[in-house]
Amino acid sequence: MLSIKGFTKHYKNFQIEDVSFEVPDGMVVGLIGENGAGKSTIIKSVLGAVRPDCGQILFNGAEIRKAGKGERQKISFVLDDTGLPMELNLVMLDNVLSCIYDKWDCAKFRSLTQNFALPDKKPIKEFSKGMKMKAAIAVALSYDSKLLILDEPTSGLDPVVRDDILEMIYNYNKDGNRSVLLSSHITSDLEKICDYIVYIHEGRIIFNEEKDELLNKYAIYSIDERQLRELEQGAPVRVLRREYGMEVLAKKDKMPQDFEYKPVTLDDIMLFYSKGEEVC
Amino acid sequence: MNIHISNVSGKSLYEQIYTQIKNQILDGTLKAGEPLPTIRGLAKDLRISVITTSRAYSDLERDGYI
Repeated sequence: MLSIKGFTKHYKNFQIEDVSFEVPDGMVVGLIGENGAGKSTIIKSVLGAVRPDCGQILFNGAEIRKAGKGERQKISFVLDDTGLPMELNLVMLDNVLSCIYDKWDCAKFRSLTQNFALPDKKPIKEFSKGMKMKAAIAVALSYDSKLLILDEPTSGLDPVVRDDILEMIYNYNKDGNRSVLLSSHITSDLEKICDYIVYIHEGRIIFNEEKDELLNKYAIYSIDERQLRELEQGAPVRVLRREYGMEVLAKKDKMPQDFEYKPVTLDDIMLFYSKGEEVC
Repeated sequence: MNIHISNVSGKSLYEQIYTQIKNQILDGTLKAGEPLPTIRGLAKDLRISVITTSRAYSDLERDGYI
């Protein structure tokens, strides 16, 4: 569906180096990383708002930069700041968008906004944060796209609204021929919905793995220095030293079977990679 | 149909699904002709990836259970 190859972009104080990953047909891919790791830059480049210094972004095999209007309308997106015109209400928005999008589905838009209990006649600027996000998602789902891109769709929202949004994303690709790329630092949301996880740290990909395999492969062990030295090469990946002990992120299959461990979450993995020490 | 997965059991997720569906077929809880959940539906329900559920299903198919 979407493939990003060798994406490189240099800014004054920050660079993204050689990022490559795929969003396969029918899959949900989650981008995780700290604030400022480069997630939004990558997403904006897919939408054409950022031009890479180097590398290619292919949508269904063709370079996205050269795609015509018809191809571009196969991608729907929801950005962090929603990008909706604040003065309009939903009835007006419906009218405007039906002129812009060739395959705008008025009935679907109305049913989505009704399901979300969004008011028709109130200008969007008077919406709460959650309502704005729901409206933006309703827009993204109301034309016949093949790829849905969401940048931080659940940040700043309460757990109930977040669950509603995840449900919509699930419904979007239920039949398996549409793909989703989403970024979030609320990793528990991604754990629920993603098939693949791409972790970006300081502008580079740390890993790109199938979610279940990733969470199954690693575990957290509380051990001491002596035990750490005796471990098989390659078993421990990162160490977090505390004042009164240490924790190790390690590959489960290479660790002694009788060691006790805690299952990992994506949060743990991010924490170990950004704050932990490398084990060589 | 009930499937329970655990992330501390030491067994991989797809093995857990495979074994539980297999056992339910063998002990008659799951009857022939009864529809199984879809690959995506089951993945969503268990909050796991479709890659895992489809691997479990294709192994069940390969071994002739479904």
